[in-house]
Amino acid sequence: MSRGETEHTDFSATPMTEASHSRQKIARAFLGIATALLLLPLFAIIGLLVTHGMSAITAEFLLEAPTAGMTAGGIYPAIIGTLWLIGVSLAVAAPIGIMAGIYLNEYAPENWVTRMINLAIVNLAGVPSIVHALFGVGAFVLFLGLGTSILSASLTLAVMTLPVIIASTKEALASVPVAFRHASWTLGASRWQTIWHIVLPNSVSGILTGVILQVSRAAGETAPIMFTGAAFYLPFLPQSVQDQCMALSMHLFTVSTQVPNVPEAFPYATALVLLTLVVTFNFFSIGLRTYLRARRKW
Amino acid sequence: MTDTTSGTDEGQVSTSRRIAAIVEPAIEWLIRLCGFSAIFFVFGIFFFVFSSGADFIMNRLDVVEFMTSPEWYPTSVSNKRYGTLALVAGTLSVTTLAMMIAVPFGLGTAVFISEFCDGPFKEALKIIVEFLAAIPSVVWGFIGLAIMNPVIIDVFNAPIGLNVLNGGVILGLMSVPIIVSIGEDALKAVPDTYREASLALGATKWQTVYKVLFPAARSGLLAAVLLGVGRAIGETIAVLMATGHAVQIPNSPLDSVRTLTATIAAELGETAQGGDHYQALFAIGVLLFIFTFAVNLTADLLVRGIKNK
Amino acid sequence: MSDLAKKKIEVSGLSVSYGGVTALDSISLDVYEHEILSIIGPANAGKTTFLNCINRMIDSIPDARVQGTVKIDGDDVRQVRDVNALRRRIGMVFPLPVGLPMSIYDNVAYAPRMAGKTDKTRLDELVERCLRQSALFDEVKDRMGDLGTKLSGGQQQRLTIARALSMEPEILCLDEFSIAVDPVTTMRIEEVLKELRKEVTIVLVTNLVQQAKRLADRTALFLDGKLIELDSNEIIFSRRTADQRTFQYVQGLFG
Repeated sequence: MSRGETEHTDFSATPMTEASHSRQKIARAFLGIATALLLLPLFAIIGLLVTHGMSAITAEFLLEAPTAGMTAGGIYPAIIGTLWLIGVSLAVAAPIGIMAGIYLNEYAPENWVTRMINLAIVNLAGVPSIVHALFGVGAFVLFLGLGTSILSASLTLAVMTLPVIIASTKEALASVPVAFRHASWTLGASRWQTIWHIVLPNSVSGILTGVILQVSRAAGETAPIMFTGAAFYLPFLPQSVQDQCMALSMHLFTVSTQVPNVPEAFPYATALVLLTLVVTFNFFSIGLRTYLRARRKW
Repeated sequence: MTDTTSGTDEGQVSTSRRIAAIVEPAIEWLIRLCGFSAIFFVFGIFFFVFSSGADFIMNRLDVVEFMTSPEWYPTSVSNKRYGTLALVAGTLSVTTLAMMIAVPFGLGTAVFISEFCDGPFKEALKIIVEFLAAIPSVVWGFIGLAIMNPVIIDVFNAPIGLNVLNGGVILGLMSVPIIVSIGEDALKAVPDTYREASLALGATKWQTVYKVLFPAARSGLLAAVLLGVGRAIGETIAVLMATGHAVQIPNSPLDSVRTLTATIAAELGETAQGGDHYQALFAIGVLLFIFTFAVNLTADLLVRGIKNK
Repeated sequence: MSDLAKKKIEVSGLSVSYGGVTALDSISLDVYEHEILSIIGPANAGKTTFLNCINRMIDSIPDARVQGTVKIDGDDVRQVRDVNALRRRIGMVFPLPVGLPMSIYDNVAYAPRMAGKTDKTRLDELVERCLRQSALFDEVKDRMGDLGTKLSGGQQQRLTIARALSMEPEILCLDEFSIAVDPVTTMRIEEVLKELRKEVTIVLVTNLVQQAKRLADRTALFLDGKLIELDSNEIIFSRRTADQRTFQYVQGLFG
């Protein structure tokens, strides 16, 4: 029975049920309003960013380095820096996270060790981003001697995004029916062959969805990269992962809190570019998910 | 059965199987290693954060002062003090206000989406909530700074709009998506037979929600709230930008505060590496780690409780 | 079966428990080469567990404890080094048909490919032969690229049988294959099995007493994990059963 069709079924409306039905209507209206109130800010934010920031978005703004103490010029190095950070952190987090997801869904026995791993994932996901930053400083910048660099910042972001990649990979793999695995094993295929030929081809889009969502999260993070590799002001482009870089999120933080005399539209425009980047990734992932549901093979 | 494969085919077979016999165990070994990575990183985080502040924590930190004094004067020349009470109060005040907003709105939206919506409308709402979750914290912080700040000054006639109220509202909005999605999962986990039984007895949908679904999904909803709390405690950049920079125990929502997370973000760049102040910030990191660890552990136990039921 | 027939599977003292609950209780029986042995019995009699012990799928059930031995051609299956090679010798058909999420052709070619046989012309021959053997070829020959999962239940079950045959197994185990299949298809598959017994040894777990009677050379009755009686069909489906319960079960007095 679908949950939407139950109201037609009452035949005799006593005063008692009439009262409770009007209460139900009030409750429903209230919940609807709560939901609407919640979604309002989302549209308000987008609206405000567009109206205040759109005027500043020009080819120059997108394709040139900041000048005059960041009060003029553009945000090109920040865009490129963000792409570097996303790319490198993804290159590290995606393989580890996907393989960890495969381990947990396909290999891990049901015992206390696995329970510990799952607990660790939940807690890793809950570690505050600034604590990740401290870890990045302690482990990558200082202990491994990578210095403040794209590499340090990306590794910090990678550790941060890892738990969600693991969780979404697990979920995607679990959506492939167990019966397929059993059928494959009885045909003499090894565990790995079964994963490679049956499980992964039918969950790859789900895995990608999770990875893309994490990309968008990494793109927006500020705290973990502040002390590990993102520079306040660096008007040239990074040449390797050992360089520092600017980043959109960091740039927005800087121009809105640290730098005087920035034109009013600049931070709005920067926020708009960052939001557009993030939303694009999100749209992409939602589109992929919808597409994949439509062409499931069973 | 007769074997139809010829000699050359057999040769091919054994070569490819021989390669597989080497490659497959190697891949599986790598997968196993990655599987354990989460444990490795959690311990790694605790180890590196703790050890970076260990010298100070073990030798010079007055734990009583650290936990109970509101005086955070790490840069004072004459009398350095490392009390985090005001910072804890900052975190708690902002988190409390955030939860006062996020819990009713989040759970209300979860109920609305899960029980009162159907089809494409439901999907659309879920997607919008996902977008809300996708807004980066620095953008939220900027909204607090550039939009909420003047509004609060105008409406409340406050001297400054960067305060508990500003941070609480921003943080509340940021915590809503996680409460909605975990809360919705918890409601979804209640078997449909419960709803049908209740509706069959003549209860309205709303009665079903608060008499049947809330009790049945109690621990999951609590977990949703706890994860929201965890998120709010850990949030850094948005509160750094929206709550002002006053290290004080707030008396009203219009007072500026400084949270634990914001303190680290604001001061780490200005300290000498390895100095007491620097190490004290790592000590705050340890405190935050333990805080959020406890919250997430509890939430996880609650969620697991539902699954095992 | 004459005493001269070769023993293909020898089971002795086989007991299985899942987390302390006994599923099989010291089963001992032999299956002869090229016979159809059917196993009947009510639900939870341990029939499926028994099949899982033959191809060691029991290994993938975490809390299963196995005692006793299963030998194929005299070799203990639990001593086998390469379990995948063992499974290639044993075709297995489940109660509910499971088409793999790939084309019909790929479904049948899957097992040989996983075993490293990739020669295109040989695979073409093999796929066609297996599909003919399972009486499916004529229905699908023009759409070999369609998804196996989109076939009807009866067709998927025949696809599963074709797939089981693709490794040219020595033993074919079927677990209540007719549950999700219409009567006409069931009869067709039964014809297929009669043909196949010339080449393979068949263990047929069935919930249909009449099916056992039609197809098998010998029939075993399992009850609560115990082997109650195993004898030729002449005995089992007569009044001369050694155990009263066999007669009662066959007559449909319980089950």
